[in-house]
Formats: sequence, C-alpha cells, structure tokens
Amino acid sequence: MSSSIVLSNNNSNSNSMSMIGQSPPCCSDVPNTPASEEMTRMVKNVVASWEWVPLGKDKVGIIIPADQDHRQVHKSRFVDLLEFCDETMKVKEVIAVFGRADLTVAAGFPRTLRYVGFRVVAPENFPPTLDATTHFAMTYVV
Amino acid sequence: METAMYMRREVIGDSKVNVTEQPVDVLPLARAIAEAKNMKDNDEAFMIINLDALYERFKLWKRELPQIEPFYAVKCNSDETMVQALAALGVGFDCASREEIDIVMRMGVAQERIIYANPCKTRSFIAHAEEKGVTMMTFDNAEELEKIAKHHKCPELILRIAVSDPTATCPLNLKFGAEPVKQAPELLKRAADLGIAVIGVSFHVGSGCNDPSAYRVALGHARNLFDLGLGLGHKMEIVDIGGGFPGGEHHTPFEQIAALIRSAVGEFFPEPEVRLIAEPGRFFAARPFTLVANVIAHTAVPAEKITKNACDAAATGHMYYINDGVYGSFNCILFDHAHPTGRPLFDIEGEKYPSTIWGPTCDSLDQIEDKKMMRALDVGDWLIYEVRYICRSIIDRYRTPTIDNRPDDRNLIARSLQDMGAYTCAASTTFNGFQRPTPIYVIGERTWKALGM
Ligand SMILES: Cc1ncc(COP(=O)(O)O)c(C=O)c1O
Repeated sequence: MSSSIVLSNNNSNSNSMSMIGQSPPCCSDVPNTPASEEMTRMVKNVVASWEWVPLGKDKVGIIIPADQDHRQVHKSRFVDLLEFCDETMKVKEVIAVFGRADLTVAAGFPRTLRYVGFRVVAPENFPPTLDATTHFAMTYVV
Repeated sequence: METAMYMRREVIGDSKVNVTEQPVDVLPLARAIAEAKNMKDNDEAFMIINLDALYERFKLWKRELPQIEPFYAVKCNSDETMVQALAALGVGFDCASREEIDIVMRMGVAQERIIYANPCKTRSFIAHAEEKGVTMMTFDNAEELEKIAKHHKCPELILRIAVSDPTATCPLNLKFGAEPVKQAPELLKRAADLGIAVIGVSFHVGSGCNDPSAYRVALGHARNLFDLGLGLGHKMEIVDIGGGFPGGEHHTPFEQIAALIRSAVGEFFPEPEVRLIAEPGRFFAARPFTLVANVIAHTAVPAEKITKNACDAAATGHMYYINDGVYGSFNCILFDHAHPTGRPLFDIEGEKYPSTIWGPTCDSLDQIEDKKMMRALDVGDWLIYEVRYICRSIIDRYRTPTIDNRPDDRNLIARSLQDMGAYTCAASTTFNGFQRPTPIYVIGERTWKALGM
C-alpha cells in the first residue's frame, strides 16, 4: 500500500497541455520578446515538455508534468534556468506549477524540488491567474 | 498572559521565553494555556516549543557521538529561537539557502560555523555566501565546481557523494551527490587541476534511515576519497556524515545507529586530526514542538462517507476543520509520508465516532487525519499533536529479529512516528504567508542556566 497522496485522477491524459487544464495559464500568454524566446529555450533545455508563463510582474511559472521523473531532469540545466530567471528575467520568484490530476506530491518531482529549496504555495497565496483547485504550486525565492 | 504558570520571562533574540521552576511538562502546560485562551475567546492555534527537550537531544548527541560535531540542518525547521538556543550550545549549522544563512548569521553565528549545502547553487547564491564570508560548501558536479571557482574567492569545498539507504523514510534520489567510485575521483582531480581546495567529503543517507549500515558503506567510500584527495594534494580534513538520525522513537534507535557509526569511524578514520561533522535536522527539531489547534468548524456526516463502508450508512461520523493544516504546520504530511495523530487536549470519556480532520483551507489536499476513531468534539475544542509513540507493538516486533518483518511494517512504523517540529513549518514562513501558530517557548530553570544565555 502506498502512503503517498494521490490526487484524483479523473483525467488520465498527462501530457503537459492537457495538464494545464480548463483554466489559464497557457503558453499563449508568453510575450513575444527576445528574452521570452530565450526563456522558452532555457525551459525546453531542461525538459522539452516543460512550459512557462509570466505570473504577474515579478514571478514566472514553470509548468511541469505531474508525472515528471526526476532522473530526466539535468541538474545543471535546471540551475541554469534558475539563474536565467534571476539574472535576465529579473523575477523574484520562480513558481513550479503542476496539474493536480495524477500528481503524487511525496513520491514525485515536488519532493525533489523541496530539496532544492522550493516551498509549497498555499491556495490563498496563489497568483490570481492560477487556479488553485486544479494546480499544485511551489515557489522558490531567487 | 499565563504568567502564573511560569517563574519568570527571559529573552532569546526577539522571543520571550517562559522559564519554569521545574523541568517543563508539556501536557499540563498546554491545558493551562488553552483554558486561559478560552477565557479570552481566543481560539488561535499555538505551538509549545520545549527547550528542555532540545537540550535533552543535545546531551544525547554528546553522549553517543562526542567526537562528531553537529551542524544543525536549518531546512528542517528554521525557528529562530531554536537556532539561537542551538548556537548557544555550540552547534554549527548546515544552511541550504541564502535565507537560511541570513537567519543563522542574524542570530550571531560566526561564518566558520556554517556549512553551505544547497544542492543547486546559483551564481547569486554563491556570491551571497562569499559576501557573508561563508567558505565551507558542498559540491557534486564539475559545472558547480567551476562556478564556485569563478564566483567565490576562497571556497573550501566538501565533495558530496551519493550513498543512500533506499529504505529510509525519505530516501534521497541519487541526483544529489556524485557517484563515489568513478565520478567522485574525477571531481577531485578536476578540482586539483583548477587549483581549488577540497577539504573533505560529505554524504547524506536520507531522512529516517532504517539501515544504519549505509553510514558504514559511505564512510568506506569517504576513506578512499580522502586518500585519493591527499594524493592529489588536497588538504583533506573533514568528513561530514550528513543527517538521517531519528527524531523520536524509531525501530533502529539512535543509540544503535551511533554505536555503528562510532565503530565505522574507528575503522576508517582513526586519526584524531580528522574533523568529523554531521548535519542532523530531525534529530534536534522533532521533539521540542507540540501543536495545539482549535476546532473551527464541524459537520456530522453518515459514517459511510468516512469509512467508505456501506454498512456504516446509518451510523454517524464527524468531519472537523482545525486552524492549522498541510499548508502550515502539517506540511510534513505532503512530503514526508508523515501521519501525525492528534487527540483531544482534554480527556473526556465518550463514544467514539469515525472522524476526519481537515485543515482550514477547504482544499482537497488539506487533510490531516482520516478514518480516526475519536470522541465527539465541538467547535472551540482543542486537539494536541505531539511526538508520541503509537504502534509501539509494531516497533517492538520490528526489533525482534526472529519475526519475519514484512515491508508493510516499515511503512507503518515510519508513519507512526510523529515529528511535529521536523519539516513542518520549516523556513520561508516570511514570504509564502502561511499563518504560523503562536509560538510559546518554555524552558526549565536548569536548562536555562545550562544554556548560559
Ligand atoms: C544534505 C542534507 N543534510 C542533512 C539533512 C537533514 O536530514 P535529517 O533531518 O534526516 O537529519 C538533509 C535533509 O534533507 C539533507 O538534505
């Protein structure tokens, strides 16, 4: 028996677009500037299926599939991404966003992120454009 | 407020600490505080932080592992008053972020007593460490090594290797730490080529280590790497055995783990000049914290809704909502396979009903306990969550070598151990807005004197 929390899996399709769910964010929110294009490249360089969205003035959301395997994530490239968010995007927080369907918090990638210093975002502190009922978010102060 | 219960107040940093004449006894204290709050219609959750319990853990460490200097892993719980009490006892600190370095240094801890062990160091984090004069830091890959060389003038590096106990409550994934046989020697060479000082080796077997022989295996690797490093001209002098020590009752008791470590250290590092350090988190933080939360809402439901058993359709069950949850002090439920078990603060006999306990957020993840048999509570009643030793029989069974220990038992044991202070409201309470329960620090007169603050 697993003791980890399994979120309801009424939607078993786990590709990242369907994961974003009914509500924004959506990659179409990404602005069309050179820095944004470079940001997209940095995000895809970590894992091709990852996406990102600006979340207000000083935050970016990195959209990560619920079933992300930590072994597929290259640590140095992930650090490069955090540095890019810090130095070029000049944001204060990087928010990892997961769809709740199929997500296991304790056994999955959220746990790995916690070792990196990401912390859970309580639903009442979600950025306004992110639906707290369908997403799980963790934040990292750059 | 409840000054009558205490002898006097002292101050640690910005916190008031209540000194009691006798050693602290948490349960009567919690009841007295709750009664005082009831009189004032104050239903805020509170956390009692018993610094006597912290001191007991420190004495236990000194007794069992006197040759190993503890560097408390601040990520486990960054409560500033606890950090300051540990600092007064001469403990060092393992910091994993810029914020943690700032907290510890604000408490007056000198930079030499900090080891910077963030597994993903960005340039700005390294620059911050340099600015603060923190020099000891871990690394586990070539990119990190080069980055540190570029952004820190005088780093003293500790090579982190991956050796984990896969049965630990929280086994680490191997991404954190270099593979010890092939990759780690290459990193020592690369550092020598770059002219960067490596001063030691570290590992972390994972939290809630069930198989203490992981420490022995890791120390064996560390020995090889020490010799290799010395051969390459590195001034190897530190062995950092990481964390993973139990915070409370555990089927492999701390004393047993410590005995194994003493023996492995004697075997692999008999030289007295080698400096041995560790990064215990849970070991210190789990015991001192006791949460008392208030029932803020209640609904009676068919018991079937809780037990998921159709036979219970006619029986009554209860759902309670309390004013702390997984987005606050119960964060450990989300990440650590922890299953804290609370009980009504005041013992009153009564029929028990299947009950579910929820945090305050109306969020589907914010469940604290499920299918719990408990007497009926009213809004305004208090629940206490402390480190207690339920499932004692399972722990005992696991200790008995003749009984076949099924893997399920391990999970059960892990789940039965509650660490209200470990990985609960750790760090970052400042920015993500979790409402913390009101902290109430207590210390017995004798411990207060021992801290010499
Ligand atoms: C590198 C490192 N050291 C020490 C610790 C503390 O572990 P514990 O609380 O099990 O002692 C951790 C926990 O994650 C860690 O990652």
